[in-house]
Amino acid sequence: MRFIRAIDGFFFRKISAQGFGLMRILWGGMIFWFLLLQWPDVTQLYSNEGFLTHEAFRHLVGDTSYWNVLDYVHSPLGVRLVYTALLISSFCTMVGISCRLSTIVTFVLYASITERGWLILLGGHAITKSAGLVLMIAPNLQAFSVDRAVRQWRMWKETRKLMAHPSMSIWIWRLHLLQIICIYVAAFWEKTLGLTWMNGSAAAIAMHNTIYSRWPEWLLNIITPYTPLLTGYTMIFEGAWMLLLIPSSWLKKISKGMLDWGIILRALVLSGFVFHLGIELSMDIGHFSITMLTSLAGLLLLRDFDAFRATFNRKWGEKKIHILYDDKCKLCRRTTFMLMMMDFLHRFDMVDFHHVGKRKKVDPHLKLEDLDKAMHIKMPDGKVHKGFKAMRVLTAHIPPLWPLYPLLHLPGISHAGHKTYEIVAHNRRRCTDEYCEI
Amino acid sequence: MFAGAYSRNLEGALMGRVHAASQTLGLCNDSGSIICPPQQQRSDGMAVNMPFNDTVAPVFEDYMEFFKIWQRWNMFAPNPMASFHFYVAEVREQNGEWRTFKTYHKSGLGLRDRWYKAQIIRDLPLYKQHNFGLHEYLMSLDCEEHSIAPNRDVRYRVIRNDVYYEQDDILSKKFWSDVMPERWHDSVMYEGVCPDPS
Repeated sequence: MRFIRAIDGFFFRKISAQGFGLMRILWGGMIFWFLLLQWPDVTQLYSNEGFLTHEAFRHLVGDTSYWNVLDYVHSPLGVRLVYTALLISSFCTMVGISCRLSTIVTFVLYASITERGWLILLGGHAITKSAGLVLMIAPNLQAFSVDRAVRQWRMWKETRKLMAHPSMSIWIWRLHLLQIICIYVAAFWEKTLGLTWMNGSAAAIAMHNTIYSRWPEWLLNIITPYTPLLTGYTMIFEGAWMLLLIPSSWLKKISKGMLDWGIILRALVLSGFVFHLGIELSMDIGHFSITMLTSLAGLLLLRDFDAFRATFNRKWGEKKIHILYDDKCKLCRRTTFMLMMMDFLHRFDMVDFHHVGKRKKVDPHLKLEDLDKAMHIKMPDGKVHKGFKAMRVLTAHIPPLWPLYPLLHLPGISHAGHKTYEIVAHNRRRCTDEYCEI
Repeated sequence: MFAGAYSRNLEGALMGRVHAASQTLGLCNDSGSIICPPQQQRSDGMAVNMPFNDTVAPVFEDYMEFFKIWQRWNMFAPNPMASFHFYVAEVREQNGEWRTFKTYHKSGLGLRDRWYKAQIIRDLPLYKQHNFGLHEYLMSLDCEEHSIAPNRDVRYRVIRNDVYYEQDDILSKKFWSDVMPERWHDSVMYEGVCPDPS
């Protein structure tokens, strides 16, 4: 019985599905973006009127290529349609509309496109496909999706409560981890067979290559003497993934409690983000780096998201921003719900200002008629902001909206923002839960 | 020379391969057939991307190299690639000297040339239609772009630098800053005359 419980725990223990949600977004977005860039050349690359007719392609590859959709679609129009379907499905995967279906369609069409393509225009095809396969069979893809947001909205509308974190069985995460370990350890092993990775000169050679280097010659020449550090970092980073093959309890025993499996994994994932972002910024090698970043995102667990939140909240602490909203106004309810959905840092406290007790507790001096004109927020230091300014302040506390924060401070934006806010606030009671008449 | 799996001599090899490439892609028009018998035979037991790597790539590797449109799994292991090369297009002046009018070197390419790859891909049907060799086709584009008169002598040179892992002082700043132009190997890849657009 104990054995069965151990097996059950090993494969079916519940973990957060947020990492896979993030991986789904990055995977769909990456495919959408890179294939969009290829759009002008689609018929040249994949149709009968391009470089290689289907007949010629089959003649060349014989029976060795896998089944793919483009076996049946050869005309330029047909290929355009297939490609358009792929762009739509990858976009749906990214935003999370019909997650399972869109991921399967994206995988099948992406595999077809890469199978039929005779020019490898992007690097990292194989890893992108294997990440797609993992996503396709993952038990839960709903985290950070439109599908889930719609269900959350319905629930919140009825009960003013949100659903619990999405979870899934751990087996798919373990499979994904094993795959990533194989990639890095195989790369490490092959590099140990070469002279340049062992004597420290590999990074200098790779970065100077005129084919894919992004940096100018003079800059490369300056950093050349320091590149053994990069070579060493690469070898240590890739080789360290072998540590994850050691069971957690053994690792603790061997290191006498100094090494923790979970901390090693988090350190490797973070190092991986640095490693692949560095490659992406210094070399043009297709979407290899982005696909590896995507795969690493799938390894993030709830504790990693909590750690991320704790890092950003280290100075902020447990303080809350009180957002006073109008629960009788449907637009305000929707806005409030969206803010709650984006409150990854857990900094917001939503207060219905019609609830006198709660309102007085936040600030006894706030008047109902003022609150009725614009959304008010009260900061932990006691400052009160309202309307457009309140929205602008909130963007600083919502990670997905951080890129907007500096834009909202550009000259002229404030004036336009106040005007727009006034118009929307004035007409807000015309809104239903589904749409607004402005 | 390329490190690891690939070792090739770019000089001369390109021209030999163009004919094979033309045949494989049906670019030849003598038979009137879309498919010409491929010279490269496929090997058995190839995995998902192997048909490309083993059959099509050998035919096109030089072509792909030229336009920087290749990737491979082991491009960084066991050693990174250590042969850097670029091409220059030159025209013969009245005094008999050759003048470089275009350099296919990444650091010297402008935004437009960075997109040259995409442009060539778009223009390939023209290449197919006229049954040009690769260099003739490139030459026609370059002559037009740089307004070089018909029948002027034009040539393409490949300029290559090979890094020798065991001999070179790769980690010194001086090695990389001194590497041009003394260490570049230089050879004429193709010579021809600008075509008459009419």
